[in-house]
Order: sequence, then structure tokens, then C-alpha cells
Amino acid sequence: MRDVALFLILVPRNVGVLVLRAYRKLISPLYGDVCRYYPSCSAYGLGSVQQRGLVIGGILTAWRILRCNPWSAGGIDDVRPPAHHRYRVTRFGWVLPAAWVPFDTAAESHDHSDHSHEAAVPVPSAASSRKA
Amino acid sequence: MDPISIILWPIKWVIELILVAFHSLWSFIGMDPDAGVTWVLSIVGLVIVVRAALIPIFVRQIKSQRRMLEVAPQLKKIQDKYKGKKDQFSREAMSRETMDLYKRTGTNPLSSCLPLLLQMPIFFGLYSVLNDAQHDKAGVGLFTQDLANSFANSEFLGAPLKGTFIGAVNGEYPWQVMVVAVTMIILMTASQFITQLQIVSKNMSPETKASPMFRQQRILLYLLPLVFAFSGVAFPIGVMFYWLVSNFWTMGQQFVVIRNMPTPGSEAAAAREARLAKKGKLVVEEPAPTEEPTKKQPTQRQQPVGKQRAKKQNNQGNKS
Repeated sequence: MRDVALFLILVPRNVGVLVLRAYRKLISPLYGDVCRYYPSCSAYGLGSVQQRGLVIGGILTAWRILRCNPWSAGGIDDVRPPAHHRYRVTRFGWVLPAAWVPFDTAAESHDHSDHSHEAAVPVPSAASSRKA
Repeated sequence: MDPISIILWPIKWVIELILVAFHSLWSFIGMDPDAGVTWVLSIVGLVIVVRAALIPIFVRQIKSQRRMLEVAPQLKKIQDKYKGKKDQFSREAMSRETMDLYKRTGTNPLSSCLPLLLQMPIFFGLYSVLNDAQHDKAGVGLFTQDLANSFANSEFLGAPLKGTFIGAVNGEYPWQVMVVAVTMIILMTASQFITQLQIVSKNMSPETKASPMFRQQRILLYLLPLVFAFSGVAFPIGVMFYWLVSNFWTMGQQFVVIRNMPTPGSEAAAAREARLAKKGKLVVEEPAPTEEPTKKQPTQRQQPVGKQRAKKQNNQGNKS
């Protein structure tokens, strides 16, 4: 019962997860590597929405994008790790009550809930010289 | 108002200001205010203003790419450390170390997300300005009802600027819309291809060409025409013009950059040095202290070195 309630609370952020996954799948590749941070802005957005919910996660993401400007130094900027373990993140990125996600299929099993694995190698000048 | 229109409001206001300003300019010098050409040229004006405003960012980015040369040895060290390790752990660790290096040395070559994401609302704002006009709505600022109607109904080569390919298929717009839309899709694809090929064939250092990112870039090259084709059939012609002209701008800008500020170590850099040497005015622009040599060497300095040889040289360097 408590899990069902938790699931309902988690619905909005899962909507956000779906949108961000779609963005990362369809639109991100068009830009190539542009982000001055690691993890990239969209990965950071995904992680913070997963951990903090749609509203706070969304605000954190907006703040991150504003920071990701040509005058910033960039560098490593991780999402804060979760403070508790009431819910877990699946491989796809859904956030579900912990009891519903077997530990071995959870992304957390080696904790990469807060970052991505795709195309994360920033190699100079290939993508970036095209952008204006 | 929903949050999206609140965000878009100032952008739309500025877009309308620029469009109307250019429209009055063209009308003032005697062009027909209701003609499609006038509106298309106003869109061209919009592109010029937007892209010119982005030039400083672009130049800054190129400069930090040049500075990459200074950290190249450290970068190479990281790349060697993770050579052949394809698992996610190593790739992540490699990205982290690379990013950290960029930050420590202040040489981040990546262009950052904000400017790119800012272009999206501009495009979307133009779309909604045109969409409003199509539904007989005035803009949020200087775009009055009359101007909105004039814009939406003006015809370029017989195709109304509000027309979409899909609409033309359904018989809402004349057949010219299809011709213009298809031509623009082809031109957009062509300009994108040329821009990319220019970079790949002339303005890339051998190290970049060997990277896994490069392959990804290639796939993208063949994916983009599909994107253009899909969006080209759905977007109004007026919006497509913004995109097309913007693509042409990128192509021209790339040409100038490759000619005058090529990536060190690329073919274009060698060509530029040869050109300058011929004229007898090879100047070393950056105060590069150690390795910028006399006239003859620059083309040699960046010669691609085979993997084996590079390893050997490295080893020797380490031993001594």
C-alpha cells in the first residue's frame, strides 16, 4: 500500500524521465558533444529529476544550463547522491519504489543513476568547431 | 499564460522587433511591403542579427580550442591510460579525468549548452510568430494584425510563407509550396554536407580523426538529411527560410574559419602556412613559446605519426 502511494508520488518525475530520455535519444545526438561539464547537462537533468523530482530537479537543471555558458570553466558537476533508499532507478531510468526493483537490475547496483554512459568522451574540436 | 509562453514572450517580442525593423527598411527603399521577397529578406536580416550576435562566442570557442595544443601531452596521457578499454567504467573515468584537466588548465574546448538551447526558442519563437499570423492573430509586440496577415499571406515564387508541405498535399496550399519546400530541404542537406565535409576533410587533426567521437560524427552526417526531410514537410516555409539561411551562414563562417584560423595540425593549417610562406609573411600569431619554429618546419611539426612510432618516441622520452 505504501509502495502504491510512493509510486503515485513518483509519477510526475517519471514523466520527466520519459521526456528527458526521448530528448537524449533523439535531439542530443544532433548536437554532438557540446557540454562543458561532466555529466552533460541532459544527464544531469535526468539524474536530478530522478533524485529530486520534477520541480526541484527542473530548477536545478535550468540553473545548470545557465551555468553551462561560454564563460564557465566547466568541469565535474555531479548530481547529489540520493539521501535515502525508498526508491530505486531502473536501467531505463524509471524511478520506482525500492521493493519493486530487484537490486541486480537496478542502475544503482553500481551507482550510475546520476550520470550517463552515452557518448561521454569529450574529444576536442570534432563537434565543437561546427557550432556557432 | 502557460510557462512556455511566458519564457517565449520576450524572445518573440525581440524577433518581431527585428523582423518589423527589416521589413520597414526594405519597404522604405521601395520594395513591395506585401511581397514574399520582402519578408524573406526580413528573415535573412533576422538571421544576420542573431548569428552576428553569436560571433564573439564562436571566436572565444575557437581560441580555447587553440589552447588545447598546450594541454595536448596531458590529454594524450589520459587517452593512453584508457586505450582499448571500452567498458563503461573506464570510459566514464576517462571523461571525468578529461573534464577535470580542462577545468584545471582553463582550456575547455566544448562550446557549452546555453547558446545552443537559446537558438531553439528563437526558432520556436519564429514558428509561433508565424503560426499566430496564420490563425489571424497579431504578435505580442510590434507585429500588428496587418503585418501578421501580410507576412502569412505573402507569396514567394507562388508559395505563401505560411504554407507547409503537408498542407499542400492536403490541398490547402498551392503546389508551389511543395516545390519550394523540397528545394529547401535539398539545399539544407547540401549545405550541411558541405559544412561537415569541409571540417572532416580539412580541419581535423589526425588525433581527432582517430577518436571514437569521429565515427559518431559521421553517422550524424547521414542522419541529418532525414531530420531536415521530416521537419521540412511539417514547418511553414517562412520558418524553413530562417533555418536555411542560418545553415548558409554556418557554411560561410566555417569557410572563413578554416581558411584563416585552421585547427593546428590539420590539412588546412598546413595549407594556410604554405600560402603565407609563399607571400613571405608567415607570422606566428600566438605567442607560442617553445615549439613555433622557423619558416620551413611548421608543416613538419604536426606530421601524423604512426601508432608504433609514437609509442617508441614516448618511451624514449620517458626514459631519458
